[in-house]
Amino acid sequence: MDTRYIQQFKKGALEMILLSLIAKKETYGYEIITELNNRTAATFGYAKEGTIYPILYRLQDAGLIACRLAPSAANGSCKKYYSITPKGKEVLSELISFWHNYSLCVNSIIDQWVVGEEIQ
Amino acid sequence: MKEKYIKSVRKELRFAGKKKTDILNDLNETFESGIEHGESEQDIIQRLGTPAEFAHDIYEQMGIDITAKEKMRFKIRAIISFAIFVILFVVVLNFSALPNGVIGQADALTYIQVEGNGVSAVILLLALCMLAFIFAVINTARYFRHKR
Repeated sequence: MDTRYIQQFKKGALEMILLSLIAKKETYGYEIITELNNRTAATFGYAKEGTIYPILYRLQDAGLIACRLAPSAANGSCKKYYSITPKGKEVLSELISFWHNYSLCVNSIIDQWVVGEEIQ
Repeated sequence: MKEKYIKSVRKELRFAGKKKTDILNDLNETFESGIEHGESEQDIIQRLGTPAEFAHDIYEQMGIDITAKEKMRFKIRAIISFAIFVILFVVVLNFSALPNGVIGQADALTYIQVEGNGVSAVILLLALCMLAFIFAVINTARYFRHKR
């Protein structure tokens, strides 16, 4: 399949996916990308830092996530820890309910087509 | 290797300000976290892609169409250098053609030789003219190669 189609799908879903990951627990960049890749790479390819950073900045600018700098245990260097804000939780639940509606709606159309194909 | 990579990314990101500092800091953090988790710098770089690819991802996500800007730059350069080429070419042609009546009213063959007036200037102009032409061609090629 043309990767451009996948990119389009990804673009819409990534903000919601990242919000969900951060909502689950306070986390940092590397952990986010590792977890994301463990769970989504097989379906829509590897996530790259260059793609993820700007989304995190956007979520932060919109006040949906907050971040704090904290020294890491291992070598004393600072890490950015992201956590979801109350506003972020609100938006996330809106996004999720929209997503469910959206997929139901899309499924109802594409399933029809598949059934039509089988009848012929 | 890590320093070199971050330095190249700094060069590739053609904008300034807090966003850029954030990106470079996060990139640094990525390396440190990766190493903490047992990755080598080589592994991390392989994952990140080339500095140009990394910057391209950033631009794409930030909605900056850098390629359009670059394309425009090549286009402008090509047009200007082509105009310079045409102007110089006309000047050179006029320079090298002898003006009418330069020898006077000679009806028959004459041994009068016209001393090369400003030949070096013509060569210089010709060289500039060629240079402008080459520059125009290069930029036109780059313009068309920049498809995306």
